[in-house]
Amino acid sequence: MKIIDNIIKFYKSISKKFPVTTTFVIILALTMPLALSQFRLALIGKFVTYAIVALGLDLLWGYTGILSLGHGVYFSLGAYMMAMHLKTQTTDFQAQGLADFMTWSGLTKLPWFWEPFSNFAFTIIMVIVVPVLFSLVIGFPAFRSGIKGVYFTILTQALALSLSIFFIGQQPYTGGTNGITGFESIAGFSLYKGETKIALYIISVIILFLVYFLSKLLIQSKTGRILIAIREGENRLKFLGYDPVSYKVFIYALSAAIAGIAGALFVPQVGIINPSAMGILPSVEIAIWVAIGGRGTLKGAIIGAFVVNIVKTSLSETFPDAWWYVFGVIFILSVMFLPKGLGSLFEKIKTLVSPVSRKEAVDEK
Amino acid sequence: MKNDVLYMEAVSVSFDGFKALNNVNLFIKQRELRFLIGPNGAGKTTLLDVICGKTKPDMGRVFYNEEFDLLRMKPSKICKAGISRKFQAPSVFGSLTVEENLRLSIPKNRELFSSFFDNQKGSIETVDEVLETVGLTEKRNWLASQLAHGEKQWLEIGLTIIQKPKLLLVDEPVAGMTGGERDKTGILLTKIAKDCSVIVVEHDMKFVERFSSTVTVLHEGRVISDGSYEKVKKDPYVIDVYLGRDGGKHESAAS
Repeated sequence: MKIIDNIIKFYKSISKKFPVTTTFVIILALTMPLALSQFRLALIGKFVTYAIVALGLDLLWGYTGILSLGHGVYFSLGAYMMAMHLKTQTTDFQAQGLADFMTWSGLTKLPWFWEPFSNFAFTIIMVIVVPVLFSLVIGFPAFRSGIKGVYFTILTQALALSLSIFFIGQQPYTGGTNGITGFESIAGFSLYKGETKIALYIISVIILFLVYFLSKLLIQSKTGRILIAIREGENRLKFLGYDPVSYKVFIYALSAAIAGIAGALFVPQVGIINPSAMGILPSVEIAIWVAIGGRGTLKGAIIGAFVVNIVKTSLSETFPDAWWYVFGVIFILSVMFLPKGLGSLFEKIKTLVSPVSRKEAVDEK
Repeated sequence: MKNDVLYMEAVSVSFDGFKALNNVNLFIKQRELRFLIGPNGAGKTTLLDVICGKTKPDMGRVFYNEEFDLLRMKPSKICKAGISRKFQAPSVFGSLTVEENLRLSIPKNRELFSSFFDNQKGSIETVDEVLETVGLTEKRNWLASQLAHGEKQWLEIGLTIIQKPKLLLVDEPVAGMTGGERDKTGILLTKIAKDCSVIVVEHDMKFVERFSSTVTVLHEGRVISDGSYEKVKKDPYVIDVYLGRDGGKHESAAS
């Protein structure tokens, strides 16, 4: 028994310095392009951008306890801006000075607010700035006036619904129901080339891990403790001399920024963005990924986004109609038996197998 | 009002016409341990709410340390000025450890930007000291949610005293505690009162008798008597409305 103890101890000391699983996952993710077809790779690339939004929502919901069912909005804002940039790079646009959907809707001049988006660097900056500003406009007054819990959630739903209707209505400026599609190149590289696709995938993976590690840093900092404290007892925190409003506004804006980045990475890989991505349903889906993966654990958010979408894709390829039923069943099962999400499955098995590690798990916390 | 930590004059609060507090005066001296007693609905908790900024009164004046007008301050400002509050139901941060709970309560780096750069390493002595005072040194690495009811209450008292308050408000600290835990809480409060003024709302008359120095009795939003427990106990009006003819034997009048 002593030998086993020592092995466990040794493993623990190593895994603290080099998280083995994390390293393995990073290597696996980066070598994916060698093993997969272009079609599959694009699919995984899409899931990577989903995982990024899920991380953002997890910071807001899992850690701070604020549920937003309107994160599709921020994702789409980032996506639309990137889409418009890609549109300005098409030969068609450069010949006419207008996007195709604008011509169809009878516009003769490029709207002023789309003009600067022909600049790549400007677009990248706006992909972060616009969601942040938008989230401040919503978040600051809401949190200041003490709107919380389910009321805030309803507010975000209304936001998702109204903005998607608005985007559908503004056909000359947003492409209406069809959205924006028909891209050719990004930063001078053709989107049809395999190398560009691989590069986009790798960039997405790197950004996913960057967001992951920065979120981890945030959660481990005092700020992270305060966010958790807001979830557990906002009133107590207030009477310890903190002002929870500034923290809530901050984390809402941060998760909006993360969603915007994810949206911008989504568009060049998937090739289209339309208002269906910002409505209520996709926004609820994001929350379900986080719930299934495990709220309040960063890994859980990533696992949830991947597992749900992999199951969704493989099922809807074979039984397109059955997917939503399966989705519901997975959701119910995970809420009933794994309230802490799939991410907690390993820990649960571990504690079932040996009662010793159950005590350790308690001690470690 | 000289030397008074808290000066409360003619304070009235009403909720939809119901007078929760009616023309209440309360003066608390430095390092005083004051008990507030009275039947349910007497306005005890409302009084604490007014002091810590949770409820704004319709009328009256509330000054702290002669210079702060509490009625013009937000709860977080009041807290920063040195008034801490322990709530009635234990409210600690369950998924943080006992030590993390205390660290979070250290009055330092409470603004968003300064909190990023807090190294969470400093002030270990302060944390140790408070852990010792509230008797939770052994359980510093436990999650707060794993503590027993009484221990949660002590932890929350710890959260308030680590802020080095000048005035501590404690709402029914011994409700739901065992006899031994009550004694420990009483001793803890007496110890705290050596450094700061403490106002305790309590129902348990045995507890009040044992640990109080001064008692204020509230009834239907008014102060009906104050002074030492011995004096208050003999006040016929207090006996009538609260203690009853058996001299306060039914200690848990409210529970």
